[in-house]
Amino acid sequence: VKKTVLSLSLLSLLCGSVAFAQSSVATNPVGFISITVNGGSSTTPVLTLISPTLTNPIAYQSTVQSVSGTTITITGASFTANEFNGSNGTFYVEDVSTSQGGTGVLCDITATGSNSVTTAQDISSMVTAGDTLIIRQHITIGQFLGTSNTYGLQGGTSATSADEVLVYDGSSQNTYWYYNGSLGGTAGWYDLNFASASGVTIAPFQGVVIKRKTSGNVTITSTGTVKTGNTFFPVVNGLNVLGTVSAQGLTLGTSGLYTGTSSGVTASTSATTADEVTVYGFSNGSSTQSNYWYYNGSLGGTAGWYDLNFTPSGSVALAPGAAFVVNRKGGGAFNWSLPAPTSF
Amino acid sequence: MKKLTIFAAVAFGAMSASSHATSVGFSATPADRTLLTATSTNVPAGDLVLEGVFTNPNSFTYNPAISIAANVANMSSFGWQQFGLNPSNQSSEGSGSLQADTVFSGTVVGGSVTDVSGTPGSGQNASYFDNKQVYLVVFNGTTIAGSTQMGVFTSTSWTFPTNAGGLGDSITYDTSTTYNVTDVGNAGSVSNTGGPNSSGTLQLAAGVPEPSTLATLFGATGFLALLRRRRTE
Repeated sequence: VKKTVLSLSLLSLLCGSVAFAQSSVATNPVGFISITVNGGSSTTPVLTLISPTLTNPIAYQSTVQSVSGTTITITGASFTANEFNGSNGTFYVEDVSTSQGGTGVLCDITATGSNSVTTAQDISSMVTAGDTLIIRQHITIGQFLGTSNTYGLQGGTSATSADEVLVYDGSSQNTYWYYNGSLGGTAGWYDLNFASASGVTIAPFQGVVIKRKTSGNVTITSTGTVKTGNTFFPVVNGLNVLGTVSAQGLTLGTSGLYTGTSSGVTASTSATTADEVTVYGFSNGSSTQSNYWYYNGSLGGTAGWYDLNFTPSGSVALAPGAAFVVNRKGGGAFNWSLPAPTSF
Repeated sequence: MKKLTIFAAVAFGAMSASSHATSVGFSATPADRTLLTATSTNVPAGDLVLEGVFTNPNSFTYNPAISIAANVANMSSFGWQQFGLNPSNQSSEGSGSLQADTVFSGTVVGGSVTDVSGTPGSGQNASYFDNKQVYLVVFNGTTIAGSTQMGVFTSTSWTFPTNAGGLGDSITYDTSTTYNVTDVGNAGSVSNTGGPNSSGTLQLAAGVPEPSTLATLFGATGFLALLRRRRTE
């Protein structure tokens, strides 16, 4: 596995707030993304939807020797016990080349054998012998936001007064906050049960909502490896707060969210019945949101992405470092296939 | 630990299938009032805490002569409705929980409950709780049936968010002295000072002894009666 790292400061000058490094032979370009979290107030917190977008570097890469149920045996592997699980952190596998239609499928690792890994789900129907498999460690809250609150989100003595970090899984969320240590004990990230949360993972598909309760913007710098290749994200019925791994950035039109099949958002003749995509913004000190839907063209005119004023919206950006909401209205779960980036 | 991520299509069935989610959390912190039993010991970590609404709390009075389960049933007759349960049939439609959590040397209320049901504004399910005052019911056991003490606490500053079907439908409170917390129907008491964390206390009300304690008492009483009978003979 080849890795290239260029000067981040140089890239910043070249590329502004979104910058990535690569060389002519790079397979793992690295870089950083600057993410702005907008200021709010205690009475009117402002929501900013973000995601790490970048990943941890590849920890291991090889080919699949065989797969049986949740056990994937890896060619030439010689792992130590629990190398990719347990106290070593939470890791996941990604199939990056397969004839089984599973290119881009990701799954958590729950156990590590001497030459195999056990996955949290049975993905044997999507993986086959000979596939290229990579293993990465999940991004954690401590890594993303700094174990000592590097970027200066508001800490406090409870989540009531501190900025809240909501990590979504479908429509359910877990809340985290930074305890400032002023009442004793150890400062750090905690959940609502006051359990340490620095090691809590943020999966690639998970969106993060920052509920900021004080004025002033905060800039978070997400650093890591650019995810290349196709990627599958699960979309379920109901609310989905989704991150993105596209360092290139997407638009609604290029996102692959609409496929014209059951493996994409449902189109319709109005936003009332179509699945909706909500992009959050910030204006005049408050959170804003814009809703988009896919018109199926059955009443005339051009099929495509539109906003609620029926303005064509295919060019609306799903920016690197951002997260957004998909409201799936009963069409069933599907794998959103994020297209591989064409440039970085 | 956070729920592991699931990506494979085959796993979708295990994931949530809902349109809306209203969440109310209580942040366990060193600043919280400490949970004390009726005998001023810490409520054990992991013990049950419920959150919900109480439409007629002024008519409820805690009765120490009946079981905790009977008191909870009595609460229901005065409009107690647990958040995360369908108000129509009491079926579960939520996730998460509140409980007693250890913070430093005391225990406090912590956790979050999410109700994932209901059409926004319909008055049904999660929307039933919209803008209503939050009540906490704390037990000295992990189940209602297994508890012998309870406390009911509230603050006019604790209100459920509006189920609007969006991301803003969550809120987090705590039980610190920032909030003017009161007990309900003499079910427990509230102090703004003292407790292991020196942050005030929420103390449970004593109730009827649990069955095992009753058996012990009955056994002791029977033994004394037997001794008295032998002396009489």
